[in-house]
Amino acid sequence: MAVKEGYQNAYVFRGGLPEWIMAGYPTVTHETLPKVDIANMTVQELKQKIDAKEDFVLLDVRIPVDAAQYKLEASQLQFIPMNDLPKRYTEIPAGKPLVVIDKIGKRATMASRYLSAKGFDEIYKVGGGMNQWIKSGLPTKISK
Amino acid sequence: MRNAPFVPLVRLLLTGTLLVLVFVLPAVAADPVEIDAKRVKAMMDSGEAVVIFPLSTIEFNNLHIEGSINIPIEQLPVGLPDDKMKALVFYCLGRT
Repeated sequence: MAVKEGYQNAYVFRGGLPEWIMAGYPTVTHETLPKVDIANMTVQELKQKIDAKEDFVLLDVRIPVDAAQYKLEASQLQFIPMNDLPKRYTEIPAGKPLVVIDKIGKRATMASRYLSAKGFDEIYKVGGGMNQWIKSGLPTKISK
Repeated sequence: MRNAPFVPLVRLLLTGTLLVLVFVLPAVAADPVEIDAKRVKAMMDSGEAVVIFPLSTIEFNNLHIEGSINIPIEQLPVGLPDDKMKALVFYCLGRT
């Protein structure tokens, strides 16, 4: 996107935070989320829960661009991009199990820890995220 | 004229080269370059780059590269520097 906006010198640091930390370079924390263990749910288990029409909230925290391209269909689905959670987490019904799904399984843990700090107490994260759902051949709605 | 048959071929080659220079090379040259931690550090230390974390503020507040800024991807390009020659380095949570 930066390139499209006319920025001539755009770089990608794909190793990201893990590589930076391994190199021993400095990092900063403004707010540490409580270190809570979040239970993992496989995509197959999620599919069973969806098909059984169980009463839970399936929270998709992907960025809007990704969510607009493809999603799973479930009556329990609620979409709140992770960056919107601070101002919208109150929209999530309380008192129900909460299953958090992201794109590849890396961000759901952080989202879950944040929601745990906000008082949600039964939270699961989907291992491998939507990518795993698709790789497993599970039904996906793709936008044209 | 002995050279006549080659003129159209030369014209075609020149036109093709021109098209590549005008359309293809700029597109290829514009792809972001992949760099490593050492290079990022050097670019930050010299002040030549703005290092940007495009994921959520929740994640940024939890842990980020010292000196980097947070511009959630939904907000881009707002927040990018006015100087379009300024080097931008984007990073996230590591390789997928």
